[in-house]
Amino acid sequence: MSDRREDLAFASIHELAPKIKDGSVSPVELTQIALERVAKLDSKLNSFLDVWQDEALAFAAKAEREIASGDYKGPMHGIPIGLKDLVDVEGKPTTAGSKVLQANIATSNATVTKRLNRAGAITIGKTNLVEFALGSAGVNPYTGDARNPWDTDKITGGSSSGSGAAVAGGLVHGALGSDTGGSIRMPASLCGLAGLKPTYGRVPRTGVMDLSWSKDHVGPMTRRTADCAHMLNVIAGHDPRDIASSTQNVPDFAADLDKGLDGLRIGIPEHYFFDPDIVDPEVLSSVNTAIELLANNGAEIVRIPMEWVSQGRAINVIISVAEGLAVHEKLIAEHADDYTPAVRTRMLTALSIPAVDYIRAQRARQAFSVQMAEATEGVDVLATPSIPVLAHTIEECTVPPGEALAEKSHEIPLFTSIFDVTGEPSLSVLCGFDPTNMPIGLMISGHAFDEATVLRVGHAYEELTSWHTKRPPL
Amino acid sequence: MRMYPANTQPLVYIRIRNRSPSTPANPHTTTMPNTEKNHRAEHISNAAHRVGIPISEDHAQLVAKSSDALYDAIDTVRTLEYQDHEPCNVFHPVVFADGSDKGDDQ
Repeated sequence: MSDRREDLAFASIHELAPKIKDGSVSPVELTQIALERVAKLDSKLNSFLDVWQDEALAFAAKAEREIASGDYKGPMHGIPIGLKDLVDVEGKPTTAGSKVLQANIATSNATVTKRLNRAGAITIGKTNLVEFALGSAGVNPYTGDARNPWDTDKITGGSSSGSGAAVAGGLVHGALGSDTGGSIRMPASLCGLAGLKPTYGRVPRTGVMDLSWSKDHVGPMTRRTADCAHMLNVIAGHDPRDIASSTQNVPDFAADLDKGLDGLRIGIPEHYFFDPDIVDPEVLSSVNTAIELLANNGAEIVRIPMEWVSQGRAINVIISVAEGLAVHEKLIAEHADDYTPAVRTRMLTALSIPAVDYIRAQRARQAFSVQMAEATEGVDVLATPSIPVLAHTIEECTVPPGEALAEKSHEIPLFTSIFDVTGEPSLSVLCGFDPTNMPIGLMISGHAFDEATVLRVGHAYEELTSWHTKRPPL
Repeated sequence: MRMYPANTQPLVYIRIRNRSPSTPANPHTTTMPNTEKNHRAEHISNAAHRVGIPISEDHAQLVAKSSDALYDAIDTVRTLEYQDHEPCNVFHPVVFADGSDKGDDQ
């Protein structure tokens, strides 16, 4: 692939949009490049489960004609993307990465699919995932593991594993993920991306396979924070068919990107997130350096005691598996042998939860959310590591049939899951590399429905650094 | 920025009674005898049968062995102390800034 075509493959949506609008970059060429890269690289990455070459090229040609005739629909117009394979596309399989749903053909588009189509994005196919999105490492023995473009022996993180690998590998410019305990931000961190879990209710989940009704979020995964803003602009907004969908006003999430850090107060938790007994020293070093950079460029740093915050993880575990089994009760009763062993085992652990403990977890969650709101009242965002550990190998995270679940995977969502409990927006951005050249993520989390400030901080950080310009050694 | 109105008391207010660091969250997870694991497995097996999910004795044992983190989580949440005079709306558990406890989705 020529330098120009590779540069186009790794260009951000933010850079490409004005060039697509003025006709200097062709959506057809971008789509051809994406398809070429899938053909060339996906045997290594296993990031896509299904690719729709002819439809994608036809859609790209249509986009090109529309733009040439002056009907430009906005920054996602003509941009090749992927959808996690739990998002419905009419007439296409939605397998959720499971044999159980191998013959499941979607009869309509998910709301987010419709909105992306309407914005002129070019969906080239469905990305790999952990079976039914229940897992943090990214492994899936049924579909085959997605592999991290920075080192294909390492995990991508999950559950949006294929979305992480596809975007990091320059196969597409953005992808949708879903996040119940960190499934957007964990692969974003491990693959070196920007991944945004929006506020609970901000993006409707109609037509997206459930895992945990009270905690599921859908959001963008891209190489730059600004690109998350552009994708969120398209997919956010009320949908009455999702009971949790918010009627809050949807602002232009890209409007404040260039406002910089002046006047912003960034909270740093004094507990848990920076505990050297939990967090790898390489992660601590990179994240602390990133925070120093933010402080040196206009942000005020505020230390916040949060001795209670680790309890959010326990609340998350109970709600996730209890609701997960409730979602899957019928399927697992009828198709138990078609589930992969680890996911089936994890689902069935919920049989140990008395009803009173599920209710107790939801009550504790409300109190926890209020306490988080009080603690963060005086700051605009919190900055923390996204995940506490460095990337494990796929082998370390693979559970052999007949063995108990791997402890390694339990460490990965310790921090991300806190903000699935509160429902607040939370972004992972690339903030460095460990000595083995694996990415490290900085997590920026904000107040409910204030994605704009979270994105502003992420974008400001990227503008001060060049980590995002590195490309994986594929 | 407040996530609930300044003049409104939160529905519940958590105060977490931290365990002593020397006391594991669930002593069973580190020192649990086989009889306890067997008891867990039996409970899992019975619960599965009640909801019509097929499960072998061996698999129930495996699920029991894989449940340590969950049992820890349950024990942790049971230690939380908060004012519980207000009911929780479990269908809208996310508390947000708009003055609603329902995530503004009315």
